[in-house]
Amino acid sequence: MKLPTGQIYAKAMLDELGVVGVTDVRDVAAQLELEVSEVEVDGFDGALIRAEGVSFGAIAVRRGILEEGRKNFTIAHEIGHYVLPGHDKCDEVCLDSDVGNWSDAGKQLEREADEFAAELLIPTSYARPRFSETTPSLQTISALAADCRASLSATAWRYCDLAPYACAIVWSKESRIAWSRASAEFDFFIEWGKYLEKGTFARDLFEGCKTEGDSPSPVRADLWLDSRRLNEGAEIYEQSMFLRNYRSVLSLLWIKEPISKQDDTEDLLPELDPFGLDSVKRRH
Amino acid sequence: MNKKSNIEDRRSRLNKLSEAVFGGPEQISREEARELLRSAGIDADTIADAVYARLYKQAQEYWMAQKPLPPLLKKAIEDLRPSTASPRNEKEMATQAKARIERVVGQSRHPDAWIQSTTPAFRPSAYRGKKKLSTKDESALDEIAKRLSDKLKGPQGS
Repeated sequence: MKLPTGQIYAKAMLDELGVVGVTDVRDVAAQLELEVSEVEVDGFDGALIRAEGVSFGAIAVRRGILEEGRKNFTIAHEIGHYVLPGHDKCDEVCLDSDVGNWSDAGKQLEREADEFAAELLIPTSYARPRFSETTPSLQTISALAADCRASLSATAWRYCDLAPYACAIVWSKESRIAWSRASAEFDFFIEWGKYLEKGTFARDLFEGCKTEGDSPSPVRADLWLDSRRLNEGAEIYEQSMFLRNYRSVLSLLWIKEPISKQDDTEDLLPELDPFGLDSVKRRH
Repeated sequence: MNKKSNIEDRRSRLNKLSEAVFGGPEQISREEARELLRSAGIDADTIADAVYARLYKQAQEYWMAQKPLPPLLKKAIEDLRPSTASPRNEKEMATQAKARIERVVGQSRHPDAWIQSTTPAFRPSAYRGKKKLSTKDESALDEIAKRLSDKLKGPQGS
């Protein structure tokens, strides 16, 4: 059984400190006697400096990080390492990741610290009602990122966890899908590493031949999703944004109406699918 | 009088004497007990973990014999389940999280309330987005570590 360790500990932290609404992570660090220093370094984004058995320490953050939201996320991530059980035992927890990379799912401790940071910065109790108020759009995500002083990628990730829509976010770099995250309702697989198809707004943005849309617009569903399961002419909604600092494109995909074919196997007698394999779905 | 009842008699007498000298368990709060132990250089969690390990070993004998645990042993195992033990469900994890966060925040509010025979070394224990560290990177971290060490020595060294 996999428990959302980071999220549970972040909730406990918010409760203990009596934080309501948006979290000031620097204030949380100060309350934990963790001094935050911005340093001129190149070799890391953030580091936790501590000593065994001592109840104060420091967090070093790379001054060159462009987004304030990402600096905050880094601080929250290091606070996570400071308070999460088992994180004090390891000598070094490294994440040799690229910008906005949420794909290192195999690294359990890093995953926990990321979960912790996401909940601390973008608390469920604050974000869920706001995500439910409006239909999916990158503006909704950007607005909450600004409110919470969080990075766009972290807020987009949270959006898929908390919004009640069939939607996914996709981070693309050099015209290829770097990582994606889908809501529980988004019942399709998005292939990582795949080149973006011509005709997607994301691809257009990489080729510099289209401007960003103000809202999600229809696009052929088979350009993003497995065509074998789609109704003929099915469309999904896509909104993409070019992130100049990262030379990446962030896309929001939204399945507004049913697009799947009636699955033929659904009507099979139970004895023809005794293990319920038909219900096993792949998703990120 | 057989050997077993002899041991129980001794335990009972020891309990009575102990309560006469120190008072009963109800006369001291959990926090005060932890604080007193801490001031005597004893870590309550370490004791709890050791007692848990010993009781768990006893419980294993019952489990292997497929016998039910005596109620007091069962309760002690539940009560002393260490914070490092894997939680069995979300509720248990939330309880552990609350206890751990309370402790971390409490210790941060009393940063001098620790006892250590040796001076611990500050060093980076976690990185995010780490690549190869340059000399400049290392000296930036060393500088922070030195500042923290000075802070640690400050009130105690004087």
